[in-house]
Amino acid sequence: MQLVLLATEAGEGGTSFNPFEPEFGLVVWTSVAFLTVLFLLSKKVFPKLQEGLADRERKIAEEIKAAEATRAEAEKILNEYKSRVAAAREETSQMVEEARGQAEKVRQDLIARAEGDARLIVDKARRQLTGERERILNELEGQLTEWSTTIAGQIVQRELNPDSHRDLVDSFIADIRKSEAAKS
Amino acid sequence: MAFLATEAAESVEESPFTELVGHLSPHHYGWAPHWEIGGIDLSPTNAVVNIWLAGFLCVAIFWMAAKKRQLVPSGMQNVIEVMVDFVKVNIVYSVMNTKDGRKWFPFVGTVFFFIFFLNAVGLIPWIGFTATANIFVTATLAIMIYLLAVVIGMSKNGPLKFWVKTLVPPDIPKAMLPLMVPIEVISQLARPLSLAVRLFANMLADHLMLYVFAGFIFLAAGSAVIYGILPISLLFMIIFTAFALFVAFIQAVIFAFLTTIYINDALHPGH
Repeated sequence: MQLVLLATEAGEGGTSFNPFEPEFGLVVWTSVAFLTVLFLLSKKVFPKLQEGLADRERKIAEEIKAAEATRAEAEKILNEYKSRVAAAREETSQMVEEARGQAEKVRQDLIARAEGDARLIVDKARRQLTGERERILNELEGQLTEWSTTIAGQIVQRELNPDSHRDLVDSFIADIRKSEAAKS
Repeated sequence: MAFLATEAAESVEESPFTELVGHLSPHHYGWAPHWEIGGIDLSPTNAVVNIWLAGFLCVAIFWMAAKKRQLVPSGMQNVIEVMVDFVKVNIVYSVMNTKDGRKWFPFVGTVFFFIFFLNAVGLIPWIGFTATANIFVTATLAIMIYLLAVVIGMSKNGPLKFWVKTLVPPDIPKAMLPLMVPIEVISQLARPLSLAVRLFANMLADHLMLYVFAGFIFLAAGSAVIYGILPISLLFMIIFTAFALFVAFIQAVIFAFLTTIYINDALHPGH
């Protein structure tokens, strides 16, 4: 369309071009327009725009400040929690150590008690065994005396007095024991 | 449209490029009133309408962005704030200290956005003309800015101290002064001149390029070559329009950057 306009004007015989042809009207209009624009922009527009920009800068600065404060607070809380967790961990580990110590102690006690009990049982069993042995030996001794007497009676074909034979056998057994003891 | 093209083709036969480039000169609208004050023609030419439109768009867009501003920006507010921040950080604060920057940002910001809108308005279809492609527009802005820098420099430092510090470079032998002072004077005079010519020449070149590619179309109108020329010219016009938008932005940045430097030099001469 611009071309059409140019063509129209060219067709009507446009003016010849002389860039230095005096145009003092333009000087006046340029000055008036510039000063008017300067007045309106510098009095009515730029202050508002700058105020808006300053408001935004202030707002952003405040937001940054608030964000920094929140971050510092969050870091403080985090550090607090970390120290609490560390303390709790320390306490837990201490408790575990204590429990382990106590368990070890209990284990040692139990072992000691078990060993004591076992020892008592063994001693008791040993005593019982010894008693049984004594009892069996005594029984065996009586039996042996009786059998010896019987055998001796049969051998000598006469009835001996049991009391004199028992004395004889007892002294015989005592001699055997002495000889056994001397051997061991 | 065919009628217009035919008419254009007829005029192209005479001088298509001259005809097109002629539209870079300000011209009066038939419907517009004729205003004249003190011998100065103040009638609304296409250049004047361009300046009004650029000023109006500049104020209106910023006004809306400032009025409906939200804490979390979106849409136009986002774009405006990014551009404001760009001017503040990359132009003003890269040259000035914080105190001066805060004070002079509205001025430099206005220079940047006004020139950017002046440059960009010329790229809107149907307009096809940019006011900054006229040396009187850019010279007015450049001289105003340079004079402002001189006035604030003199009022802050005192006229004598300001000019001495500005024109006499520090730490040079006295024997060099007759050479250095004229160079500094020329350098000072070149400031508004270079400021004006740079913007004017760039914007003019931009639009000349667009007109050259448009001119090829008119040149080839009516012949079989048009089928080859038309798509190529249109393609290049699209590419150069995008490039022109980039140039519009860059030139506004350069103008605002140099403005900041000149004001800073005036505030702290000899540094």
